[in-house]
Amino acid sequence: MLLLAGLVAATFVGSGLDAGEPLRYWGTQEAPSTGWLDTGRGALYEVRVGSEIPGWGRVKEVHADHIVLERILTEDDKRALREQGALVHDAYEIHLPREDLRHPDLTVPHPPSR
Amino acid sequence: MSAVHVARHVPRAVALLLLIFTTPCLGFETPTHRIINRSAVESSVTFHQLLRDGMGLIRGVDQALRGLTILDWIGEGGVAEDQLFGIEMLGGLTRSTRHFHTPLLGWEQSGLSLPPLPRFESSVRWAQSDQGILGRFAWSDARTRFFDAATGRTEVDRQKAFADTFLTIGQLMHLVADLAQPAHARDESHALGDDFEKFMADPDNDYLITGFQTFDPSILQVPTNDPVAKVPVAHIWDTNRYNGTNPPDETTAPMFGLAEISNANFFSPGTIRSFAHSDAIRPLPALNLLDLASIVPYVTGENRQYRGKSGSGLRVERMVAEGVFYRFLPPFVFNFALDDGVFREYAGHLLPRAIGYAAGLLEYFFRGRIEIAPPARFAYGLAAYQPGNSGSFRALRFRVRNATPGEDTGPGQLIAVAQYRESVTGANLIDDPFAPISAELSYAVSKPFAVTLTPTFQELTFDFGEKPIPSNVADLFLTVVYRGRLGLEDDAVMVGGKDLFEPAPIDMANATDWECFQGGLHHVADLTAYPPYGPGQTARDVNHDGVPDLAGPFMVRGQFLKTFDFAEPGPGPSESNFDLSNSVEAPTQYSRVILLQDRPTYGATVLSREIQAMPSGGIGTNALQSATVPGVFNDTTPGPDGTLVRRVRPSTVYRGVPLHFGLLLTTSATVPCISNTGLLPPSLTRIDGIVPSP
Repeated sequence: MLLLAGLVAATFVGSGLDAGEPLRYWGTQEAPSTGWLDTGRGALYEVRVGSEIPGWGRVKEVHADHIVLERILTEDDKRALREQGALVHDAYEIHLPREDLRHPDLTVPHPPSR
Repeated sequence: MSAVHVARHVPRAVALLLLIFTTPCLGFETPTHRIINRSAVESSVTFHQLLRDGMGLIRGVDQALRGLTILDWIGEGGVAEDQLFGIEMLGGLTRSTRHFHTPLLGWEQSGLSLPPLPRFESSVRWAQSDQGILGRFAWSDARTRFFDAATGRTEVDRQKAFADTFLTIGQLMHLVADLAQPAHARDESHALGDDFEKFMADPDNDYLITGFQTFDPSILQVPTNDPVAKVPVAHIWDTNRYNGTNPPDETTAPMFGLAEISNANFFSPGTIRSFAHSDAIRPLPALNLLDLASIVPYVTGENRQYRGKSGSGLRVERMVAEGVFYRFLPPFVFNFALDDGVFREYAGHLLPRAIGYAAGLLEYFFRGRIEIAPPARFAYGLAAYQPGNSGSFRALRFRVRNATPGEDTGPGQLIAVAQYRESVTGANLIDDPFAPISAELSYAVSKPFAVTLTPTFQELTFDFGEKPIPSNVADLFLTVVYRGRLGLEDDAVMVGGKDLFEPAPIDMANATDWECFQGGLHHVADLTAYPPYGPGQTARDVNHDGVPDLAGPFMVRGQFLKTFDFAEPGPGPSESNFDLSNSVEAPTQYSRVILLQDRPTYGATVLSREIQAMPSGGIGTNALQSATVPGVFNDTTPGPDGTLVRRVRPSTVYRGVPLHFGLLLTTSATVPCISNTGLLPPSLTRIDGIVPSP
């Protein structure tokens, strides 16, 4: 799936992402083990299993229709959860679907143009 | 009081003193029971699966409840059955005297005899009787606790009821395990202790508490016809097949209860009989049937002679050890013993059965299975979206069936329970899927209603009106609990579970205010910049070829969304079959429904009765289009080494709206540009669609 129009491709270099920023997955390209992520700021990053994405974690799996990231919680993270009375877990496993699968298009049928 | 009267009470007083100053009949010692129970639990794959997949206890037997795991609780049940108020001495005087069953006696008199006291209740009945002030750890007590646990409304109540359930089950397993101690199946009180129990209590012999041999499940499909021990689980004790002449052997043993196997095949120290059938309740085995001889070095270095049996039941190489003076004594002088060599041999036969039969009780208790499937309409629950994701599901609809192999249900009561975690901060989990979620689970319990489950699916609607299931939740798990007749058991409890995906928003959006043509985006809703095409109005002819390229924006009238299972696609969307409907949806508007479902991916079809190009007035009709929708999860799962992993499928933001899945109405020329439309102004605005009643 190639949905890269208008985006600038770059190799992810491990900086510039904050956890609060949206992260979107655009699928694999030629190499099935390589996926494309963007931060919503126009830059596109090439990632593979093991790539570290600051604020989001490490790429664990790359699939055509989704990518899996793993973020291990620090002791500070856990302490913050505990202080809120929240469930304390050890890791996040983040399953990010390919962006275009989230909003498929219902195309207008033969739009009349009278 | 006369002398005669006093004399009549002396034997009773002596017996009472004996009871007080000894622990007459504990059966296997408590550490042995703990290991047997734990081994039985660990051997049961189906139990572990039921906990995890049927009850949402994600760590199975390792799930912690009130500080102990389920495995621990059942193990501690093995200990507690010999105790009263936590004291083993009191337990030995009270509960443990009910741990005997002699299979060749009627069940009303098959318990321990300790003359001149009245005969104690047999363990086969003790397991199913009202234990009164001595405790409440019978089968029916376990049933009630299990029901209370599965339908509890708070985490505290449920954890307590579950812990009590597993403790009680462990106590019942203890009763079964004791049958593998021959003294308990041969009515020998062993008031001064039992050498086999002491042998098994030696930690050096723990390695013998292993193996797995169980019964044929068909023995539990026969009524007991006993007024107290009514549930066929009693056949794990005694099938009433053994009549003194047909001792269970390697082939037939699975068709007998454990008390029958022990009684017919093994001696206890005080019940070594010289001749077969010389004792009505212990006709076998007997010394005169022993036909094997062996000489084995004993731990003291001496060569000790053993005698065994090749027939009359199980083949046992070492039934007894000959005493030192055996060869010098006349045959009528008794000089046999049960030594460690014998006990090791006995353990090889009996401990795998203690484990296997105890596991059989555990599996029989939890044998009931309810299968859950989506309803014909596909969605278990539909809820209108409310600001802040504050809506809720007031009813769930799904199909259920009795999936218990070989056992029908009778009339009973069915309850559905949803367990979930809520956002701690109140954050909308669609907007902020990583928001902290509660450590404690919350529960919504449906109104019970009467039903007879059938082997085929029935579609039912469960009313959660009393406490609706919030749409803003994570880690959702659905359980159904049935209480009623199952097979030959009245008042059984069975459960079924389904790990539903989290409540998911599906949006229908009209994004025709922007159009793409040849890679360029045009805000066609701006009718000043893009007036209707016509003479002198060429803004819509982007490539200046005399043909208009931009037609929008569009107004949609009569829009119906229907989700479906790819495996069972039902009727398409229509005025009478939809999950979400709009009478009118203008450009930049979207509508949303929250749905509950159980598939990793499923289908959604949208029918648009009328799509009208606003500039030209041209109308297209009955557009029907489908898409694949990924399920949404935000749950917990066990990680490696006991860790806990929170799995999240995050939302995205499209034109200012956090969403998981939105069907966007655009023109076909816009499709190639869609990845560039997510940040376009203005933000989409939500309108209330129509969501059908539950």
